[in-house]
Amino acid sequence: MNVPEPVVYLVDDDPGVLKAVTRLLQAEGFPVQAFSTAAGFLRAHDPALPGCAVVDLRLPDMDGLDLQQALLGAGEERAIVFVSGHAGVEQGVRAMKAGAVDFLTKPCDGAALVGAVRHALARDARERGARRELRRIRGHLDSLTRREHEVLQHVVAGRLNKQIAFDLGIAEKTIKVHRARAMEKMCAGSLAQLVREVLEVESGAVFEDERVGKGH
Amino acid sequence: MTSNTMRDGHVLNKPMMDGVLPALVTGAAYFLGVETGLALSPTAQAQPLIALAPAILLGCLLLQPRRNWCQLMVAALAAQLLVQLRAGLPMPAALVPFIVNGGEALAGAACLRWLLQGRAPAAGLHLGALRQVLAFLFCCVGLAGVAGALLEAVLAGVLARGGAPWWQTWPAHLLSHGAATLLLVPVLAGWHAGLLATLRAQPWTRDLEAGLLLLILAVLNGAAWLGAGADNAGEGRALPSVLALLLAASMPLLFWSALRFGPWFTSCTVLLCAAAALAGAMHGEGGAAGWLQLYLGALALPLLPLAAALHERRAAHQALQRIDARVESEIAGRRRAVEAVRLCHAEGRRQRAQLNHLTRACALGELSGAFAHELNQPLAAILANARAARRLLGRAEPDLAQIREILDDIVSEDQRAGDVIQRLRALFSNGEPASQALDLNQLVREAVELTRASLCQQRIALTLELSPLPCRIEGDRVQLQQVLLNLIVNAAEAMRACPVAARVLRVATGGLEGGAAVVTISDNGSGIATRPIARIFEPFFTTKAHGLGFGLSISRAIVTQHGGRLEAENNPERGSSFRIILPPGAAHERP
Repeated sequence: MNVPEPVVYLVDDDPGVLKAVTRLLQAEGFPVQAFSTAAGFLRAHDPALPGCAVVDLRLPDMDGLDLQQALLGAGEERAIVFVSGHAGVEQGVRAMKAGAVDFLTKPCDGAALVGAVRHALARDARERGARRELRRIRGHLDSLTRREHEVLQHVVAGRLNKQIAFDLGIAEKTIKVHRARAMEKMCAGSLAQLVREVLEVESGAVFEDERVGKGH
Repeated sequence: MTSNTMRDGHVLNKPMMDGVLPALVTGAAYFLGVETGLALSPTAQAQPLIALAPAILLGCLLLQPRRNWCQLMVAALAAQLLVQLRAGLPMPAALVPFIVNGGEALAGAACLRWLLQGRAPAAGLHLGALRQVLAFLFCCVGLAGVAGALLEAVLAGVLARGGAPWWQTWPAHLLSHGAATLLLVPVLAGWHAGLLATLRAQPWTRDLEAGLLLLILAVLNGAAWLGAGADNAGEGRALPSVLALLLAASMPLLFWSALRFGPWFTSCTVLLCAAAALAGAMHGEGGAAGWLQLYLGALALPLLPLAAALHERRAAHQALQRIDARVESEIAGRRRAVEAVRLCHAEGRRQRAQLNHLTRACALGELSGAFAHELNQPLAAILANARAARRLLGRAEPDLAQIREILDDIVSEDQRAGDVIQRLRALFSNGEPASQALDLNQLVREAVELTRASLCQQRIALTLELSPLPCRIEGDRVQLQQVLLNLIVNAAEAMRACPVAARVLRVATGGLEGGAAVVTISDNGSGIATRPIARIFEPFFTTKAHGLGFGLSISRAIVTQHGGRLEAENNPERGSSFRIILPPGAAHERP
């Protein structure tokens, strides 16, 4: 599967700043899509593309924080670096709470901006991988039958086949069959992997970094 | 003492006492006068050398209100009868001197009163005015003297008393009575008018001068008459020339007295001269009674009007000077007041300018975040551009065209930052207001641009409705900007408690009939709760916790200075609106 190149969305109403920052990021080797309004950005935004957004907090048509909320509301997750010329602590806190990667104050040092963008891209990639992994596990889980799912719950809870058979009122042999089918459907190589994957889905988070991008 | 007693009588103001005390005093004075006159007379039968009694009676009549005259006359009659009966004269003849004296005094007093239109004696009759002196001379000395002389002659004829015929006696009568009246009455009148106090009030050098004057005159006259009497005893011819010499010697001194001390003191001086002359003549056993009377008349007659005229002139001059001084001081006072008002105005202007600057600085302080943003934009662009350029230069084959483009952008961004600072400095400047032609739309645009960042930060939506036609006005850019900024900042503040969705600031420009331009700044805030609304324009009125209370009052002052007006009203639904109405500029073009 061909992974597309991450893109940096740049939103700033000041044409001079927009141009200069675009240049800077391009010189650093990032593909940049520049927008002078929030509406333009929202229209062009593709959630499927990896990458991040550098957003000026003050925009003529929409507050940067509102833009963040609009993206969250639409389920289009995007790592955002805010840049602001005059923001106070309150806005910074709000932005960070809503999941912003960084909050820079204008005029920001180019290195800081590039660093923040790198950080955002990395986080985007990570989250994107985690999301993909979760989607995969969830897909596997969805393919299980109701009985297989039931048996799996007991297995993850650490119960023995015999106990499961007793609890469910069916033969231990049948349990073994269900268990083997579930393991197979889950593509789990080991019981430990199976347990972790189920727990990951239940908690909604991916536990280990090295698993990122391991999916198919 | 006489005057004091009389005045006490007036003060007591009892009808009983009113006439009695003056009558008693008059009687006593009259008695003394008659006695003195007799003592001064060469012989008992002849006319007294100087007839003091009628002069005293005349003085008393003049100084008393007319209703008291009757008592005075009775008192005088009593005194006269006392003298005559003591001397053993038969009854009808004893009445003659009184009839003559009383008639003369009554005629003189009545005539003078009538001429002076019955003025109050104490206040009016001090013989310090030329008119009074001339009237006095005419009535009391002239008319009364002649009347008295004629009366005496007629009575003498009727009673068929022996002696000289009337055409020989009347000049002697006239001289005797006239001299006494001339000498005594002015002194009495002045005394009664309280002129003694004025002499008392003067410094001791003048006292010394007056004393010296009196001494010289007394000695001169006394000695001259002493000598003249002795001379006269020998041969009678030298006397007129001696008298002329004496007159010539005395006159300058008397003029001096008149010039320096006024009419009343002069009268006193003349009286003293007369007394000295009399004393000298009595001692010298001189028989020149006629000459003495003539001399005294010649002394007093010209001096009285002269002194009065001098006094009047001086009084008029002093009054003029006083008026001049008053006018001067009035003018100086006015000038000082004008100067004070001018200073006040200047001070007021200066303070207003300072306050103006202060409020502007305050308003700008509230916008400082916005200014920081304004300045940050170009700085951010410059920084990013420079970074990009450095990055590009680090490549093996730098794109020089792009680097040039970047440098161009850096230059223009730098200019932009410079412009922001320039604008700020203009707003902070405390310079003299300068009027120039302005487009109100442009002005509003600039003010909105300055506040945009601040509004954005407060999450206030801005609706800008600019008139499509240019609104030409005339005024000071900085001051009008200040008003706009102040109103926008206030409007933003008024919406602080509003839900974010309702925070809408509307700024609109438009033209009015007659070319006036209007800016309306409306908010959706809580409106103006103050009643009457105009109170918000008063200095020190503020609803802000840290407000100075000057913003609106100064805004209104600025708009008024521009010939316009600033109005405030609550909107029908929510919030309030401020309207700046400015007169059209000179370059206004009618649409």
